[in-house]
Amino acid sequence: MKIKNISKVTLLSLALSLSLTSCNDWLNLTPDNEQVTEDYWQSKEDVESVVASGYYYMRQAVPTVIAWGELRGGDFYNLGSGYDATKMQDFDMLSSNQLCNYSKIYQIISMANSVLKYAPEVQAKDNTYYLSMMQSHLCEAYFQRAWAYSLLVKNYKEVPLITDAYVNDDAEMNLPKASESQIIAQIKEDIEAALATGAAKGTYEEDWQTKSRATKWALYALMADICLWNHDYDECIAYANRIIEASDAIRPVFIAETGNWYEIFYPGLSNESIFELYWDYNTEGINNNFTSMFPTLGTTSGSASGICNFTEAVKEKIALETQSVLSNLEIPSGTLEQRVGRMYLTSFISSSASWNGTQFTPGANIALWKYRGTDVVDATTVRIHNDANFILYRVADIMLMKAEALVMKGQASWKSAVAVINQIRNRAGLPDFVNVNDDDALNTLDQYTLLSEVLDQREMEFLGEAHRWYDILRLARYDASFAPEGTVEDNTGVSYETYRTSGFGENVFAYKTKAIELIATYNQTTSPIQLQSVLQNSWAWYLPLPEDDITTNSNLKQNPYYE
Amino acid sequence: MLFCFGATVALAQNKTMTGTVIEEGINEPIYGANVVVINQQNRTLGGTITDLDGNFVLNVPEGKNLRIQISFIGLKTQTFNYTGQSKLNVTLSSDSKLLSDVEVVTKAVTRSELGITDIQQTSSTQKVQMAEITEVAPVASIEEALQGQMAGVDIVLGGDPGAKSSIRIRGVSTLSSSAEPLVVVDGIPTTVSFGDDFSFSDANEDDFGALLNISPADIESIEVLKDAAATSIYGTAGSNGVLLINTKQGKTGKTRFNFQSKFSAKEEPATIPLLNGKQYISMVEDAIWNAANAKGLAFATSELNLLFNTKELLRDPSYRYYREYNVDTDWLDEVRQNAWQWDNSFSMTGGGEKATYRLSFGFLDDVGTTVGTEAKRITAGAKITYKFSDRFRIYTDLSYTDYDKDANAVENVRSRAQAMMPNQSPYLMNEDGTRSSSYFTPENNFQGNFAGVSSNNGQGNFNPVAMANESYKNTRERTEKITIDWEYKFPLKQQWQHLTYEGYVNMNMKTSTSKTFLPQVATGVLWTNTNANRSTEASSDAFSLQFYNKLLYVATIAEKHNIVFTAIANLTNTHSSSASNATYANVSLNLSDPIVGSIVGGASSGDSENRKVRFTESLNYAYDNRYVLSAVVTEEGNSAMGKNQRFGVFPAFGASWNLDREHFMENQEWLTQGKFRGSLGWSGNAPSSGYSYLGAYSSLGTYGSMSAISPSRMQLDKLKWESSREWDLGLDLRILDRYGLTIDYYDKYTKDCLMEKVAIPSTSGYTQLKYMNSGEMSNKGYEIRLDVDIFKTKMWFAKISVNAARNINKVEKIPTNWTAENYSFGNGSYAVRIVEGDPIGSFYGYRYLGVYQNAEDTYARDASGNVMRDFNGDVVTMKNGNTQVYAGDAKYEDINHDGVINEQDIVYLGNSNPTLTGGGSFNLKYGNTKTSFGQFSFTVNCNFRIGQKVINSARMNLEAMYGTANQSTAVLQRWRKEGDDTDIPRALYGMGYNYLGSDRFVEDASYLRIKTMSLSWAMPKKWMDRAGLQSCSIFFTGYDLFTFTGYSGQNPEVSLPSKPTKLVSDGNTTPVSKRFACGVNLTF
Repeated sequence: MKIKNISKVTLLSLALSLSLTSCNDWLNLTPDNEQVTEDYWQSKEDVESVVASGYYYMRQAVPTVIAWGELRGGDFYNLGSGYDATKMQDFDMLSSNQLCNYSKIYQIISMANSVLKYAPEVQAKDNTYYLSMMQSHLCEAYFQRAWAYSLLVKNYKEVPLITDAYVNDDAEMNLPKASESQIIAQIKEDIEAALATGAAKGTYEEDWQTKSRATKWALYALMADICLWNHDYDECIAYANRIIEASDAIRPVFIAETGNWYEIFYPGLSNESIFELYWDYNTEGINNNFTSMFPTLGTTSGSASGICNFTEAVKEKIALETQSVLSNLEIPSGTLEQRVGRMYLTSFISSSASWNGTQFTPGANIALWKYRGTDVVDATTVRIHNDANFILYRVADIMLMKAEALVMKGQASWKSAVAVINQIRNRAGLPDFVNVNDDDALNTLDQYTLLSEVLDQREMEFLGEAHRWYDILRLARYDASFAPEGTVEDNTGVSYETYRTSGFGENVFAYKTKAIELIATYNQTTSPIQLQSVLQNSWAWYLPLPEDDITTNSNLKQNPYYE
Repeated sequence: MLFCFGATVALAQNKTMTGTVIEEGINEPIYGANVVVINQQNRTLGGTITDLDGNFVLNVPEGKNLRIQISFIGLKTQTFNYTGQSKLNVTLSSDSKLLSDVEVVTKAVTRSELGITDIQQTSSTQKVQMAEITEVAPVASIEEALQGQMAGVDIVLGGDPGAKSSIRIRGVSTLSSSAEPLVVVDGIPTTVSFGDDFSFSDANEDDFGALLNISPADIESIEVLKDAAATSIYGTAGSNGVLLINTKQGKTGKTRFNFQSKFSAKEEPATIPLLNGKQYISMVEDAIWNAANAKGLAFATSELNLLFNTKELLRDPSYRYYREYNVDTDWLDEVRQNAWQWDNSFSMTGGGEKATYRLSFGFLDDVGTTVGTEAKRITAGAKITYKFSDRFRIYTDLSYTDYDKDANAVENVRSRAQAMMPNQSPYLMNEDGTRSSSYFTPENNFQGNFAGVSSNNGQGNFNPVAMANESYKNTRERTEKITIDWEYKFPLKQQWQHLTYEGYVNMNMKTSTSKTFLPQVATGVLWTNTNANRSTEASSDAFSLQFYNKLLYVATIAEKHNIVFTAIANLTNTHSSSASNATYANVSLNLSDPIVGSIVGGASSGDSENRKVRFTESLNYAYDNRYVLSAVVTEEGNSAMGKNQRFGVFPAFGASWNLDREHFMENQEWLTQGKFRGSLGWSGNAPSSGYSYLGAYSSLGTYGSMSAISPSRMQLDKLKWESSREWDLGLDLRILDRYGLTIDYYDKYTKDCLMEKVAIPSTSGYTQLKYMNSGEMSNKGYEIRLDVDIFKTKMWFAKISVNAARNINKVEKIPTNWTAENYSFGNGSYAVRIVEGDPIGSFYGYRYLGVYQNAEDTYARDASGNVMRDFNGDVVTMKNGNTQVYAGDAKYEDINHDGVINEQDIVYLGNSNPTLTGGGSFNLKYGNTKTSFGQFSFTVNCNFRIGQKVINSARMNLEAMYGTANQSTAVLQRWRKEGDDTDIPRALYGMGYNYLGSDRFVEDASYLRIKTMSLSWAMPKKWMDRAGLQSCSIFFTGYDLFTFTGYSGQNPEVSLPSKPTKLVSDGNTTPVSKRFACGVNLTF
C-alpha cells in the first residue's frame, strides 16, 4: 500500500515536470505597445520602414556632419557656450568631447545592415515583394552604409567595421578597429555591389524621393568622392563622368545660369542636386536646427548664438570675391540690389555695404543665407519654416572633384581641369581662371596653384555645406611623390611626418605645411604656434574615438594621438 | 445540496427519531439547536433543528456506525452512537471548558507550508506573536510593529502618513532589482507590484503606500524566513527574505466580539533653527558682495545690480510690497501642525463544529504633521471555513481595503518652506500690518520663479503655505482579495499515513486613482503657463491571479522514521495597466477635474504583464526527531526570462540535530531545547517586467512620406537568472526553560547580478542592453537573539529580549561596462562608485579641511609641504575646480598635490551600511486578572542602528550660502575675517566650490531609539463578569520618546533609496513624530 502511494506521488510529480513544455508557451508574453523583433520582417513595408529609418538617422546626423565638416576648416567658428565645439575647432579634443560621438552614424549603419540581412528573407515570404523592388532597397541600404563609412573614415581614419546586423546579445559587440584601406575597400565593394544589381533607380515616382533617396547618381557621386579621397584619380574621373556626361532624360545637370543658382537651395530638389536630406515642415511638422547653428542675420558675430559664425578670414574672402564679381559684371555704382553671383546670395550682405562702381565696402553683418532665405532680393524674405534640405552631393561638387583628380593626374590633364574650374567661376560671375586656349598661361601653372584654385572654388561654392575640412585634409594628405620636384616645402628643414598609406609605402606629404598654414590662418580662437605643433602629428587630423565606446569595448584602441 | 441528498435517503428508508433538547441549569427547551446524523468521517448525512419547545424529528438514513450529534452555539456539543433508538432526550451543558479545549488545539503540532513541524526545521526562521506587541502598543502598520523585533530585519520608517517603509533582510544582495522582501499573507504571496514597464507619469512607488494595507489588529503572527533554504518554498520571489503574515482566523465557540480603539497625539521633534528676516538679508548681501569682489567690481554688474536694485531686500517704504517683504516668517512653522491618529477595529468570531467565521472591520484616520497630509484606511474582511467532513473542508477569505491618502501636490513643501526668504510674508498684508486672507505669491522675485514639477518635487520658487493649504494630491486605492481554498485528505488505512491535497485560487485586485491639483495661488505662474491651475488625474489597475496545488504526504514508519513529502505547482499571472492625463488653466479649485474647457497638458498610459510557473518538491526525513535531513528543489519559469533560460532550478538542503532529544540527555533538566542546524540553498532573481528580453521595433517618425521604424531594444538571448547561494549555520538553545538563545551565521554569494540598462559599444547601433548578467557580491553576517525570563512568580513576571545583527556587504566583482559613476564636478555632488572589495552604498568625495584663513594659506603646496611655483617663479594658488580660492573659501585636501581640487582628489568617505542593527524589549507584569486589582504591565521596545553614515544634504542646503535659499543659524558662525575660528566658509553668491561633496556633510547617523514605552492595565475578572466582558484592558503608550544619537539632522532614521546604487541622503523629509496614545481593548 505504502509503496503504491509513493509511486503515485512520483508519477504525479513526473507529470508536473512533463507539463513544463506546455508552460513554456503560456510564458510567452508579447507587449501590446511594441513590435517584437521576431514578428518583424514579414512584408515589403517592413523593409521600406527600416530603409526610411536609415535616412531618418542620416538626417539626424546633419548637425554632427556640419560640425565635423566646418569647425576645423576655419570658415566658421564657435564663439559662445558650445564648449565641445570650441575644443574641436582648436584641435584640443578629448575622447569625452560629445562631438566625437559617432553613435548616430553607426545607427545608420545598423539600419542598412538590417535591410541587407533581412530584405532577401522577406522577399521569400512576401509574394508581392518583387526581386527588383528588393534589390532597389538593397541599393539604398548599400548607399547608406557606404556613405556612413565614408564619413567615419574621413573623420576617424580607423573605426570598427560592422557589416552584420545585430539581432541579439549573442553577437560579438566588442570589435577592434579596421584599417583605413579595409574600410575604403568595403565602401567600394558596397557601391559596386549596388550598381551590379542594376536595380539602382535613376528616378522615383515622387520628385522629393528622386533627390532624397539613393539613386544611381548618388552612388556614382559617393564613389567619385571616396576614390578621390583614396587617390584613385582615374576611377574618380570615370565615376564623375558618369554623371557629367550622362544622357538620361531625367538626370542631375549643372545649372549654368548665374541667376538660377539660388534654386539649388530654395525651393530645393533642383536639377543640380544629386542627393539631399529632406525636410518638409508641411508634411512632417519637423524643423531642422540650421537657424540655431548659423547665427541669425543682424546679430553681430560677438553675440551670435549658433556654433557656425563666419570667421574674419572668410569674411575678407567673401568681400574680395564680391569686389571681383561686381567689377567683372560691370555692375553700376550704388545698385547692390541687383544681386548676382554666389557671394551675394550665399551670404547676405547688410544694407551698410556699398559699391561705388570700382570699390566694394562690405557691411558689418553677414550671415549664411543658403538655409534661410526664399529669394535673393532682400533679407526679409525668409523661409516660413526652418526646413531647408541639406545637400550631400550636387553636380558642381562632382565637377570640382573631377578637376582635382585631373590636377593630381599630372600636367597633361591640367587643361581639362582648368576648363572645369572656369565653368564654375563663370557661373559665379567671375572671369576665367586661365583661358584654356592660352597655352603659355597654362604652362606657367604648377600643381599647387591649381590645387589651391580648386580649393578656393570649393570653399566659396560650398560655404556651409560641410565640405571645407575634408578639402583641406585632402590637400594635407597628398603624397610628395606626386608633387613636382622642388615644390615640396617640407624639404626645407621641417621634420618629416611619415605616413603609411594603403599600398603606397612610406611617403612624405607634399602639402602638409601648406595645409597647416591654411588652418592656422583661418583659425581665430587659438594660437598658430599651438596649431602648428599639434597638427605636425597627422593623427591629430582625425578625431578621438568616443570615450563611452573605449570603456565599453575592451578591444577598441584609441587613436594614437589621443591615447 | 447535501441536505437534499440526506433527505432523499431518509425518505427511501423512512426511519425517524424524535426527541427534546434542554439546556442544563435553567432546564428550558432550546430553540434552534442542530441535530444531525453523521458518519464515521464526521460527514453530515442529514439533520434538523429543534422547534420552539426544543422538539425535533430526525430522519435517519441507512448506514453503519452512524452517530447523532446535537449542538448549539455556546453550549457543549454532544454525540451519541446510533443504535436504532427512536427517541432521544438530551441536556446540553454550558461550554465553559471550551476555551481550554481551544488552547489544547492550538498546542497541537503546527506544520509549515511544507508540512514540516518546528522540530523538523533545518533553517533559520523567527516568529513574532502580534498579540505580544499590539496588545500593549497598537501600531498603525506592520512595519512599525516589527521594527527592532527581529534580528537581521532592518526597517526604516517614513514620517508622513502612509509613507512607504523600507525593509531589508540580511542586507542588500542585488544591484538593480528591488531589495524588498516578499510578503506572504496566510500562505499567499502578495503579488501585486508594478513592473519596470510601468509608466505612471505622476506617481511613484511611494504613492502606493504601506504595501500591505492590512490592519495590524487582524494579524495573528509574523514570521521571518531568512536563509535560502527557508525561503526556497516560495521560489525566487523570496530571494530577499520572506515575511510570513498569518491573520486571525475564526474560532469554534460562542460568538465573541472584540473592539479596540486607540487615539494618539503626535508632536514633531524640534526643527533646525533658521535665520530670521534681518539675519537673512545681511547674509545674502554679504554673499553677493563677496561674489562681486571675487569677480572684480568691473565685471560684476549683475551682482551689483542685484545688490542695489533688489527691492525685496531693500528696506524701501515706497516699494509696493514693502510690508510683504519686511516681516519675520517662520515658514516651516506655517506648514506644520499638531496631528493625531485614531485607530479603531472591531471583530467578531465564532462558529460550530461545521463552520467557523471571523468578520472584521477597521477604521484608521492618520493626520500628518505637514498641513494637508492625511491617510484614512477602511478595512473589512470575512473568513469562513466550512468542514464538509473530517476529510474535506473549504475556506474562503474575502477582504477589502479602501485607502485614501491626501498629500500636497508636490513633495517638497517642507524643504521649500525652509528655503523661503524669512522676510517675506505668506499672505498679503493689510494696511495695519496684519495678515490678509489672500496669499502673497509673486510670479518672480529674488528667489526666482516656479519652474515646474519634476520627480514629484516643485522646482524653483513657490509659496509653500499656499501649496500646503490649497494644493492636493489625493490617492485612493482599493484592494479586493478573494481566496478560495480547499483541502482533501485521502482515506489511507494506516493511522500514521496522511496524504492531503490542497489547492487555492487567489485573486487580488488593486485599483488606484490619484488626483492632483496644482493651484496658481501657490505657484504664482502666469495663466498661460502649463502649470497654472494644473490638474492631473491618473489611474492604475492591477490584477493578479494565483492558482496553487499541493500534495502532502506524511508517514511514520516503525515509529521512528518520519517522512514528509510535498509537491507544489503554482501559477501566477499579474497584469497592470495605467493611464493619466493632465490639463491646465482650469478655472478654479472647484473645477479641477480634467474637463473640457481647460487645455490638455499631456496624457500617457502603460501596460505590463507577467507570468510565472513554479514547481516545488520537498522531502524531509527525521529519525526519532533527533536527526533531520531535508531537501527542496524548485523549478521556476518566468515570462520575463528569455526562451533559452526561462526555467531556473534552485535546490536547497538542510540538516539539524536536536540535542535535547538524545537519550543521554533524557535525564537532563537544564536543557529544554538544543538544536544545531545547517542549510545550504540556491535562489534566483528575474527582471520584474514581463517581456524585457524581447527585442522590439518602434516607430521613429517619418522621412518625407515614408514611415520610419527602427529597433529600439536588442533581443536578449543570453539573459540568465541572477543566482545566489547561501549557507546558514544556526543554534537554538533554551536553558532551564528560562534563557533562550538563537545564533546564526550566514554567507550569501550572489553572482550574475542583473544589471539594468547596461551601456554597450555604440557601434552596435544601440546604446544599451535592457539587462545583462554581470558582477558578483557577497553578504556575510551573524545574528543573535537572547530572551531571558528574569523572574516568573505568581504575581510578578519580567522578561527581556535583545537582538542584534551584523551584515557585511562586499562587491566581489564589478559588473562589466559599469557606468553608474556619473560624477560631474560641482557643489553638492558625490561620486557613485562601485569598487571591488568595498560595500555597496559607499560614499566618495573630498576631504574637508576647514577654511583658508589668509592668502598664504591658499598657496598650493607639493607633497613635501613646499610652496609650488610656476615657470615664472610666481606662487601657485590653490584652485577648487577652475576657480581660484581666496581666504574664507572651503579647503579640501589636495590628495595628489597638483594644486587643483578635482576628480583626482576624491577619496572613500565611508558607507551607509550599519555595522550593527537590532533592538530589544523589556516586559514587566504584576498581578493577574484573578486578583482584585487586575494586571499591570509595562513594556519598553527599542531599536538601534550603529555605524551607518548618511549624507546630511538637508544641512548642506542650509549651510551652502550659495543661492537665495534661507540658511540655518549655523551660518552666523561663517568666516568673515582672518582669524575667525570656524569651519564654515564665507558666503559666496552663485560662485566657487564651497560645498563640494565632502566629508563635511557625511555624518554618522547611529542611534538608539526608545520606540515605545507602554503601560497597560487589564481589568480583574470579577469586574468583567459583572459587566459581561471576556476581557478588558486599557493602555497608555508613548512612541519615539527618546532618541540617543550624535547625528545633527532632525532624524537619524534616514530612508533608504529605492535602488541600491543610489546614495543614502537625508533630504529632511518629515521626521517620525513623538506620539502619545491611549486606548482600550474589549472582548465580550
